[in-house]
Amino acid sequence: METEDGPPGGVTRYDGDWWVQVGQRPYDSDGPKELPTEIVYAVAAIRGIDPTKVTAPTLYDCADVSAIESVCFGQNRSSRGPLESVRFRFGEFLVMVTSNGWIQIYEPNESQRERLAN
Amino acid sequence: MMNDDTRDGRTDTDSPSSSGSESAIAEDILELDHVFAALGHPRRRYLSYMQLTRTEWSLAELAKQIATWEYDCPEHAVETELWKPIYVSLYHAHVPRLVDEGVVAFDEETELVRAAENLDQVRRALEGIGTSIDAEQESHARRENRDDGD
Repeated sequence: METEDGPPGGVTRYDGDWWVQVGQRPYDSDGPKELPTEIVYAVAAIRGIDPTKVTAPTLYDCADVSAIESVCFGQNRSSRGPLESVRFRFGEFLVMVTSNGWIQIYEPNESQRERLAN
Repeated sequence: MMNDDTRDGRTDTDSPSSSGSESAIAEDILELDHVFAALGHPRRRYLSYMQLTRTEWSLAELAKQIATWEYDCPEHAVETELWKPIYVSLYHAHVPRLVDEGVVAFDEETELVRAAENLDQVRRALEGIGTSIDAEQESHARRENRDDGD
């Protein structure tokens, strides 16, 4: 689907490309589901597939999620400290985890890339 | 003198006599890294226990068994929404970690998880821990496996 303004959501520059947010999912670090599980579920929801069908690449091959967990939600993190966010490529998507408990999923925005080139 | 023995900041050439027993100790300590990495998460510990009772499991079997332990319910009561998130965490986090540590091998095609060379290190550590701290988890893993085999 093409629209002039693109889908709603934030735009971010990463790895030389512009990316547009296509979904997000809350993450509770005290909850029963682990961060890797929630990230895969967020991507599966955008792709409209079952989470068990999200296969290659594995999240393990894309990011050190336990390190992200400790940066964003670790015990040493002060609640008054600055907002932490970590971004990484996961297959065709860009994933951003923020310390206020969100997993945001971005896709590359082709039209914006072309507009900037002109 | 720099040579190929210098790795990871360890300069073996600094020791005037590097005897066989010293290097054996160092190797044992290094091997503990695999043990700590493997056992640093309850799901990886449970998986390791299961791998000791039977050397080959499907990823779905492992996820369902872990669900019986985490939710303290019999296997027939483990519904899809309980084991599926565990399956995803095994596939995307815990099994690749154990593969990296040489504790298990994973076949992408068949989704079978098999024992690998460092499982024996983990087994020895678990035998020590199992009698004290982790006895409940171990006995659960063994009991589930016995039920499965009958």
